Amino acid sequence: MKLIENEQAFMLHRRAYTDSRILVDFLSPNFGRVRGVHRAAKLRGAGRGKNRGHLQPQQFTLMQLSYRGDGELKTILSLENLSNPIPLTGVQLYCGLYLNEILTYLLPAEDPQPHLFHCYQSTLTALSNSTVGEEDICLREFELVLLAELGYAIHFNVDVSGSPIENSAESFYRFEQELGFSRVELGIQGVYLYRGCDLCAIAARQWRLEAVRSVAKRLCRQAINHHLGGRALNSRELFLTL
Amino acid sequence: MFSPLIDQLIQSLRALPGVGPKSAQRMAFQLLERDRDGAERLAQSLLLAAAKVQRCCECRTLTEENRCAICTSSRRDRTLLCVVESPADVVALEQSATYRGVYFVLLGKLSPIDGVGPKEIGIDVLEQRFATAELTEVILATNPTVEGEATSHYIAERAKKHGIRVSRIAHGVPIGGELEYIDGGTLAHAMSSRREL
Repeated sequence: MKLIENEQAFMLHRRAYTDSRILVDFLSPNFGRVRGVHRAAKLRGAGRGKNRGHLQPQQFTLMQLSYRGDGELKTILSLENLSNPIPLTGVQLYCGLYLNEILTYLLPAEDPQPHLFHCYQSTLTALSNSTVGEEDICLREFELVLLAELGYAIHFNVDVSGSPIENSAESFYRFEQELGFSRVELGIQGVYLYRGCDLCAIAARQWRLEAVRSVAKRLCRQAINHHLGGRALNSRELFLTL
Repeated sequence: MFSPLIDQLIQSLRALPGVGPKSAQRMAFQLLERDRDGAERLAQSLLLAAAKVQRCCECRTLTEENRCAICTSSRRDRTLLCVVESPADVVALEQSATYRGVYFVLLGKLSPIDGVGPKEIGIDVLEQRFATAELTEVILATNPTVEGEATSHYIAERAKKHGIRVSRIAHGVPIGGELEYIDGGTLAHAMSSRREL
């Protein structure tokens, strides 16, 4: 039976399983998204017997995880916090929950993700330091890395025909899933067109302009929705009435 | 192994938390062998409670009345509203005997991955209360978990829109606890929200 010891991990989600056990989803660098059963003080913090007073594992906290098992559901042997939780407050918390939701749905189980793991960690730190109203920048940068790591990177420098994307407000492109951008004339009905200059700004990660950020948001949403295959993201609801 | 009725009883007892097959069997035999009266009483009260107990129309806690005892009490300060996650939290706060206002029970917490959004925890009902009731303060007593914090922020934003003062219960070192054994997150909270003496 496979035994994994002392792997770093962030908890993505936790749910009640049986009376004394919880089901936990993790993101780890060498094993990607892992799901395991954790025998812990269930619900309400204080458990019974020797577990009394144990606390539930929390999201956004770097942990050290040991588990064993060959199937999809692992048995968690130990779980320890390596640091304090990354302090997210207010809208930053919604953003963190959003990241966890897209990771839960988009990441295949047990696929190594060392780069994504470190990106997740630095995104959380960046979120906790972000100023009000600019949390979306962290989300966009993470989404672009996530898409690239999943093998669906969006190429902002060249269009479908191989010619470079023109950095101008007069050139228009349409985005097609799994293909990329193709140059079109203005006036096509029914599709959203992206301006060349906005695409070049996203390529260079220049987020100063609100317009660029809203274009990036639309683009990422279009790409992520495609890979979600029609599943709606509940965490988006939290941002709705802000 | 057992006759159908006993089997059914054992299976039904397993609906209780912490009761596995062996405990369920012990409970069933205890009731049938030694305590028939107790069994009758248990059956009666289960039937009655399951039929009559519902949600209080104001605070959503469990009660057999239309409005619960706390909501109808004239000795309660109706301008103070404490928001909690579950009816068990109401009981815990009541036992601490420090609070004289009324409650609102969410029956859950915001948890996007589980499909629990604002509608599922009755934020629309709560917002109506913000708009119509005369409140001086809303106390947010959701659990100090990630979801609990997100929930309390969400409610705080809405309460502030109606110009109501919002407070959050303090997090810190439990009485009788030892700093040495307390997790770093709690200690960091306790440090950052320390009080001047």
